[in-house]
Amino acid sequence: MSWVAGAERFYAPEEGSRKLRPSPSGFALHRVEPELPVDLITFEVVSHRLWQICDEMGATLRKVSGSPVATEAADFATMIADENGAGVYMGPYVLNHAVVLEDIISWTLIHRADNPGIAGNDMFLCNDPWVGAAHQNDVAIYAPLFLNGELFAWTGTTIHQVDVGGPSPGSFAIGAEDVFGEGPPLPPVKIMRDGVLQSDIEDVYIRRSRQPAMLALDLRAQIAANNVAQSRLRALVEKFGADSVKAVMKKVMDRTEKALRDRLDGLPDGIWRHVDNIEVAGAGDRRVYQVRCAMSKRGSDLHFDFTGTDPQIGMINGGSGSAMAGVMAAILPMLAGDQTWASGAIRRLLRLTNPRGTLINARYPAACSIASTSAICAVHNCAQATVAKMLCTHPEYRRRVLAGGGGSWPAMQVMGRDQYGRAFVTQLQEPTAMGFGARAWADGVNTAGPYAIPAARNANVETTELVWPMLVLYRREVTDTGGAGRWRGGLGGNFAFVLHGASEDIVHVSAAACVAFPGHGGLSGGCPGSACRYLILRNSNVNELLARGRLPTRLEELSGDVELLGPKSETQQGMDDVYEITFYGGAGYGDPIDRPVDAVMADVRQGAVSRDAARDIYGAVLDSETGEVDPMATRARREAMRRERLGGVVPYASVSDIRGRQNKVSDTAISEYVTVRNGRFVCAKCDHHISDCGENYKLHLAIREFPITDLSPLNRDPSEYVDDHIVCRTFCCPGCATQVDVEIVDRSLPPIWDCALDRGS
Amino acid sequence: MRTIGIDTGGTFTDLIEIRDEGTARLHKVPSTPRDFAQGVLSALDRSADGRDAKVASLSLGTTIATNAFLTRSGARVGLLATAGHGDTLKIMRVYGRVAGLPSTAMQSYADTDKPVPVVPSSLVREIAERIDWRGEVVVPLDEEQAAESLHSLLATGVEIVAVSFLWSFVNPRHERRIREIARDAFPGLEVILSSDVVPKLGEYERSVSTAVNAYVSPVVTRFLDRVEEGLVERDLSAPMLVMHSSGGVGTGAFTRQHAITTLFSGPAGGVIGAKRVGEPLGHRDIICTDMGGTSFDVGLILDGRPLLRTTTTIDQHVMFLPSIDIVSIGAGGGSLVSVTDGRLHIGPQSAGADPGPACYARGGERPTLTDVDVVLGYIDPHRFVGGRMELDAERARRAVATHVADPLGMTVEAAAAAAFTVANARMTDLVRKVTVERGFDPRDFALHAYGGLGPLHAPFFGSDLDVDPVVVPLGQISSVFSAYGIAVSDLLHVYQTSRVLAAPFDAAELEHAFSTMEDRAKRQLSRDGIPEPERRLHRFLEMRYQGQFSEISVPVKAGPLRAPDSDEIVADFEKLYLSTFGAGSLWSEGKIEVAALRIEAIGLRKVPVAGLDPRPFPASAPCVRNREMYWPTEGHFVSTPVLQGDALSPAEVISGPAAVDLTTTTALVPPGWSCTRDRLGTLVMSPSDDGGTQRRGSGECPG
Repeated sequence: MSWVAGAERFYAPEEGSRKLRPSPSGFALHRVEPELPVDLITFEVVSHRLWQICDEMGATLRKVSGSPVATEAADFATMIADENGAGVYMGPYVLNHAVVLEDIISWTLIHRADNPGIAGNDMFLCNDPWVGAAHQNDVAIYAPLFLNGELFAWTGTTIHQVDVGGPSPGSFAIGAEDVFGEGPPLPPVKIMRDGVLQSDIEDVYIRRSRQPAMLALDLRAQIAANNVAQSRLRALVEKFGADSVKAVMKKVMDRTEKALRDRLDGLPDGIWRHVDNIEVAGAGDRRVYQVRCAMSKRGSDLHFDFTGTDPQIGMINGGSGSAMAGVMAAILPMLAGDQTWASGAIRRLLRLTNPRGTLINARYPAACSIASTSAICAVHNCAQATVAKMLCTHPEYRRRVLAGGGGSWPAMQVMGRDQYGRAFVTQLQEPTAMGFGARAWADGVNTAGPYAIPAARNANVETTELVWPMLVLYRREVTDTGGAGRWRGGLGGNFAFVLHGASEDIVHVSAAACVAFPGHGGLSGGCPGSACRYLILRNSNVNELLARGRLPTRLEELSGDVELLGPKSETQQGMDDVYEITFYGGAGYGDPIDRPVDAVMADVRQGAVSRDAARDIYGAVLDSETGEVDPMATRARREAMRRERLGGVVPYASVSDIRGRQNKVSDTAISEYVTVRNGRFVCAKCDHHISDCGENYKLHLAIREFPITDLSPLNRDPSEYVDDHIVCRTFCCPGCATQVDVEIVDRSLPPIWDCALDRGS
Repeated sequence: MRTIGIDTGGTFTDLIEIRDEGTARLHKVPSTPRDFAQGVLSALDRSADGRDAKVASLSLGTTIATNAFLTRSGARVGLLATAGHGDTLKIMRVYGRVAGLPSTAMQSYADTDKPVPVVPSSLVREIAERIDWRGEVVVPLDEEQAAESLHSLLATGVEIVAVSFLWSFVNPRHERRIREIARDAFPGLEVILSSDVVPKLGEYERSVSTAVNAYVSPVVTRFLDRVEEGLVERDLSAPMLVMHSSGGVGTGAFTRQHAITTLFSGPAGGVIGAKRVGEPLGHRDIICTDMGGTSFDVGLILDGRPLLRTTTTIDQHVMFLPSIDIVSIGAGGGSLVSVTDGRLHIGPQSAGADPGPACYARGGERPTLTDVDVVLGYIDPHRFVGGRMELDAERARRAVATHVADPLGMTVEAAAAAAFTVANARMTDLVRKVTVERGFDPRDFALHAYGGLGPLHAPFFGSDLDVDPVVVPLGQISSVFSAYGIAVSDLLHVYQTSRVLAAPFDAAELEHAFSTMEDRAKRQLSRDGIPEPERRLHRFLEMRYQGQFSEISVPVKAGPLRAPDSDEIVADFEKLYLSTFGAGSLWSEGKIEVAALRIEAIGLRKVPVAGLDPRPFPASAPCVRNREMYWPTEGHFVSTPVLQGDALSPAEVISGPAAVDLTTTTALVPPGWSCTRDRLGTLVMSPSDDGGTQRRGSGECPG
């Protein structure tokens, strides 16, 4: 129970009650018989048109919005949902925003039908994390579509607003103890009544913000997007009839469900587990918290069980919709990349066990202003890892898999006075420059974007400098950020600036996970990409250098005092301070010493990998003068690495035995290197029998622990940020010393039993 | 005198010649991909048959820049960038991983990647120099380092150098100094500056534009040199003009300097052709649709002018390249029709020219839209492309049966009809996207349909959009319509510049900015040899609410602007904004601002609208024959008269169902529609409101 009386009413409806289909008074829901036939042509024509309408909503938002968060980073969402609020189409924008619209609409149907009523030409606004919003910044504007007095469907949009009030600029309240120390949430309110924007409600909404004008403009963008969708839907219904259009919507959902079920049916049953870490529960905290996930796949159903996740604490919590949002964000691109993203249908094959009172399903009034980058990201990472590993059991679906990406979104909230003398607050969109994880057949894409945003974009430096008082010193792809592996993770970028034309210091609020140490989305023994690093070089000589005509383009060219900024921190940047941030690299796929030396050499030439990392992590030794591979030294180095992995023991399966044994497509496998044979896990390279399928095979591998700093020179010692002892733990085949799995883990915790297949599957 | 238009780069090189008296002739020769100039010259030779061979002008449309870019076979380009920002072309604003892809393709993350860079990072040099947003020098150019960088690039075999520094569009001093340094130290080295190519805010798009311009420049120059040499050998002193993506032609000299403008110029020709054909018909607003072998393209003409966009995305590269705003989907004659999980798909994969549709009998097993059209009787297998190619109708049937009808459990005819209808619906949706999404009502437009299969499908997607009329411009010429558009195209130069100005606008400041660009344009037009009376200048402002990042283009009247014009400009913006985004979207408290200015400078060429050589019209043209055709509205095959297009007299009204054979293509007149042919061969179709005027169709051919 919440200590706030009456809080329960605002929780999103449980999955079960959603199925009860509320029957509101005053109007009927438009429904069609499930068997209503739709001919092929009508289906194709109407379904494509619906998709296009959803697409047009996104185009409209982008054009009208005044927020760089929406127009540049595409931090928004669009959805067309059925009469119950089950998602039929969503645009390829921020995935977890779209999904939460379903909860918000359900709640609205239950609690708003009688008073103030739901009617045609109404629109609602909501940013309440317990009702469903990802966090208070993600403001939903959604509208019922009535036809002949019946509620036919819903259209909805959300935009991440740069500031919705509360004590911190940008509304990421890093010092909050509960929601009363954050931007106050608005449960569903009627912002548009019979086609008229309610200016009193608008004022309630924008008055709390440091950027009311931007909220007002974005509100209009969201209204315009809903307007556009509703008028297009009306035209469609006029032409094809309400029943046909609805029948198509239902069929679209059924088809997505069926396609996913067919896919899941072709995979072995089992359980996949992941433990994700979120460090620092608020300014001043130094602890690490865990989100635990056991995903079991039986037949064509997926059950995500988050039991064991740490209790809610500080300001890193998420509200009621967090778990579904994070799970869906992982499933859509990997399992449903070629299907219509009908989230309402995908829910049908998902079951969540998610006790209330944890980090990812917090009781009111827990603080959750950064849920989208903390709780939801942690769930997303868990689902990403477990779904990816499950898909790796299938040779074809393995191609659709990505190793882990950034793991969070390093918020860059800044506030100050610009070169024109105006006050500003914004969230910079530079963090889009994070690397993608590697694929099972290719390297990860460099500076590719966050997984939750399929089409993210950062701003031109010239736009940034025109709008804000900054001189951007450099913006690059950064060496050694990509996680090592047979296939390397994509590189992350960096971004550094000094104030330019500012009359006073500016304030930074930083909030992210995976700063003290990286996430661990590596697959098949691939290593994580580098952590994010926020820092300020205090009292630097930057202005002196500029005055002397020197343009510093690396931190090393500057003198000053390095101050690391914590994962949840607020600070000021003065005139002589240089701010630098380095974004996550993607995780790798496969054992780094399996990477062909020519590929490592090319990496070094292109600046993707340093010479040191090539030798230490990939075991590729390059001639110091020519940069060519030294084959003898490389062979010796890789053999030495194999011995080290087995604690000094020479692997009994020699390297020459290994060749040509990989990738037997006929075998069932759980990863690139672990195959199932006669109920046992066997090394795919050397046939070493690892363990029975029913036990934690990782306990039978050679286990070693390393400092996080060994993975990348960009990583800092976690003890600079947190007290828990976080290490990198590797698991290698005792036969051939191939690296099979890598964990980033609190060393007091046992190895994660990441995969167990059901007997006989 | 002959005015010649040539479209090269595809499988065939199309040539059209227009004579002063308003007649035209067509020639088609195979293209010569190793040296496209050869194909151009042989087409030219073919057309010169000893009659009046004098050439007034020769306009070329070419895809060689596009080809060189897509296959990454352009020049070895070195790039100089501001220190600290040399990765701009790699980062691609992050968006490069998916830029220009349809949203369905963005969904499968594992299949997305950034494209191969035009300039590899080993050929990028970072130069110490920095200018800020006001144009003030923060760090002066390190000239020594610049010279060393040029030297090291040349040592690696770089042929041409692109320079793109931050804020060079505000202060080009450093970029220009690089050119001077290069001229002194490395005479003959060509240096391309971003502040020349496109002086606009946005270093990523500006850098791409500059690098790509350098990348395709030598290829385009070689091609133009070869053609020009050929002209000299043939003693033809005609000026050579080249089609640009913006829908105008430029002189050879101009094009060599701005090779990038030939990118994406292929589809522009057709739009210009439609504009020209529409003029005498009184069509000011036209939906231009081109259905070729692999794609279906849609562009718009608004109030007599093609709609342009200021950025163009090609192969995931976003450039500040003004181009006719053409949107495409993979629904052409070669697009494959397939079924997966009980769903019918049209394209985007294409059977291409080889093996081509199943009915080509070149080994293609899978059905295409062309096969569907054969099965439904729309295409006569014995008269394809004027009878030059015999189609195998049985193979078409078999392909549709195996890959569409059987999996769906339908008859071959029903399956083909379903594919035909779904394909037309995709085209409808694309036209809707291009019109409705921008705030236009398709019912206010005429629809022009060209390209091989355009006249066949247009009446169907046209009726779905309630468009009236549907026009097949110039009849038979519609199948080589790009060449026609290229021939008649006016000269066009687009200039754009970034300037942020808040309303109320200082009219003098706007006027000054416009007239500066106009002076530049006039100088260019006079270099092009366009006399004063033949010049037209149009002004546009890219406007938005302050805080927005996306602009809408507002036409502005010719100068000189005066103070009261500011209010008019604001009113025009609000009107356009409202019509685009709907009620409730206007922001009365918002501040309106200008982000950029643009002018379009036109040099009129006044090429006559032409039809094919006139033939004597018979009093009543013979009905060629009847063919069984499937009409979706009827739901079954109907014996349909096929009329000879060039034998129809202008007075005649044809009532559907009927087909008009245009030698290289077939136009369909659906039931309930009527069609007339004008003197130039243009077919104009409309839904007929009464059956009283019908003269033909709806029955059997006599005899």
